[in-house]
Amino acid sequence: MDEESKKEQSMRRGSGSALNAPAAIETEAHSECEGQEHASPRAHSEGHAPGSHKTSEHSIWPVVLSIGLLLLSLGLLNHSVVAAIGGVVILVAIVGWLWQPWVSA
Amino acid sequence: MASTADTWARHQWYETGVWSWVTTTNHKRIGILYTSTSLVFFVVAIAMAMLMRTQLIVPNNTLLGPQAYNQAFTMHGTTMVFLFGMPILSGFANYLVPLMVGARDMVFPRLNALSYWTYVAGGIVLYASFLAGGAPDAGWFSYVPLTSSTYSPSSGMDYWCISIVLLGMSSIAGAVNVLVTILVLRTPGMSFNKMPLFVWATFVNQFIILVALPSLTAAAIMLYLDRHYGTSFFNPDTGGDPLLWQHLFWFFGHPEVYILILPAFGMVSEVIPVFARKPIFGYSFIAYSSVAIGVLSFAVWAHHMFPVGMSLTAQAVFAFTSYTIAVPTSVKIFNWLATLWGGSLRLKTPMLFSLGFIGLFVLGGLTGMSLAVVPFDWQVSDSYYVVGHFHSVLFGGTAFGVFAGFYYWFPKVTGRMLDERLGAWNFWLLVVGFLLTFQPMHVLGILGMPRRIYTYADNMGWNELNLLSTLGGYVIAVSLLLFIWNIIKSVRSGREAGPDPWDGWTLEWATSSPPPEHNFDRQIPVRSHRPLWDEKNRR
Repeated sequence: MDEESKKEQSMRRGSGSALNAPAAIETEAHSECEGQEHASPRAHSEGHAPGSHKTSEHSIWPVVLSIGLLLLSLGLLNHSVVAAIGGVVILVAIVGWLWQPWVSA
Repeated sequence: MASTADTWARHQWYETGVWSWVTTTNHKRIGILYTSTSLVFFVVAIAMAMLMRTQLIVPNNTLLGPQAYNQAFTMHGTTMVFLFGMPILSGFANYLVPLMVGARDMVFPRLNALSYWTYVAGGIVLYASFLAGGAPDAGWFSYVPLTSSTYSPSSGMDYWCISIVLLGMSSIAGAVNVLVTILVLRTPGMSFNKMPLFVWATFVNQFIILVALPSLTAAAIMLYLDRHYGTSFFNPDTGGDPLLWQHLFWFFGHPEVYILILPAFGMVSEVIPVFARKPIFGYSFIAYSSVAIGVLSFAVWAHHMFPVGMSLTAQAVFAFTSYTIAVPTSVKIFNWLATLWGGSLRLKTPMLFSLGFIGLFVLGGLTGMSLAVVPFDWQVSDSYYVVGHFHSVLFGGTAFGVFAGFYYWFPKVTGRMLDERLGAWNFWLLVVGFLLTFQPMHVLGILGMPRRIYTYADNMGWNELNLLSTLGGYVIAVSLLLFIWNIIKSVRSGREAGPDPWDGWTLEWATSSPPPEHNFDRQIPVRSHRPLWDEKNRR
């Protein structure tokens, strides 16, 4: 199997996997972005600093979406205005989630 | 020019302190969040149990009135199953699965965070019911027609329904995440038959969640619609069927008990070989028996419904499948015993809990087999015999398995060892407390004591056994206080653990304790289900 095919196989199998050989950091960077959620093209082109291992981005949108679900739930049980606010928060969170360029550094 | 994302990511307040935990998508932090939150709910549920047991310590007691008692057992059951049992096992899975398969994180990190925060939202909704006129009070499985708007007019049941929907969404999202992570992020060389047994158990477990939870979610929505929007799913007066609720609930409810026990099986399968210094006996049998349990778990649900009036043929079929499901479980037990046989046993706390798990879970399993005998089940249905049985399997099984896993992996998570002496006290007190609390319940059930009664008359012959059971509950409470003290003391000043304090064999021990954010600095070839052993002993 030639080097290209090995890299390609590594990309498919090893996306997100840390146990790729050190020489494949650049490939690993690309495969991590694929294996994680929406990687922005910029992440690919900027690449990763050699030896850089930071993997986990932070994101406000999961907790915002959950707050929206909580408000929607409590609103259904108590007051429709609260439910409406919850619905708006959910929509904002979904848009924010999709809009957030997901960068694994 | 820096992108908005780069600016966002580099902003200090986003990555430090409490805010960094709120916005984290790292599987290890989410695992810690799940475990910590579930332990808080565990303490709350245990407090409710202590109130109930204290109410029953003597006949005609007046500590809790009937309404308060009904709320206590409903919230105790709901909290233990949905806010402690499932989430703490999700916590273990979150932390360990990526490490064990050699990945850097879950495949969908933000979905992982959403699962956790939706679980918190579900817990808040459930407990908000106390502020809204009273908690749900119809039991954790909420049978109709008691839970209809006619017989439960207060809003407690509505909070239960909505909470269950949120918790179901959380679990299903988590299941998708874990399943895809195991399928696509295993390190090169780790085929399915080289995965750790905890990962096998988790894999099957998450499949069960994916198939079973929608049934409960649908049922909860249907109940809410019946209560508020005039639908007739469960109301016989308007064309519905109350038994439909029971089928929908138990189609989820029986697989649920395997959701709660399979990860514990996986934990014990990891601990026993390491502390017996022998490879697990019958790796393939243990792996495939998990699959068999997963499949068969969907074929036994109506054994919770033997007295409802089903045909004898239906009862016979479900009795047969209920006997059959004992086979793969027994396969595991025999393999664990065979692993212990001839091993060089190290009786550290994780091993003590694993041995306790085997003995106590078998006790509960045997009473389960007796309940599969239809005529006997007719006699003891809804009695304390059933309460004794399911606490034996869930406490003796799930809880002991979780304790084994907690003592085993605590050093990996924190970098510090838990105190062995406190651990041994924790274990022995828990064994004594378990036996004192739950074994008398089997006798009480046979003597005719129904479940869910808030008091009993003086002349029923139940006084001494209830007293014994309550004293056992206090022993359990002392044991749990010791456990909490052990955690606090060890996090502050426990002995440093190093990367591999137990001389383990799976990939999580190949990295530092606690692991770095990216999990691994080096690659280890995977040639068997004991990659670290192979590396340490390569010729």
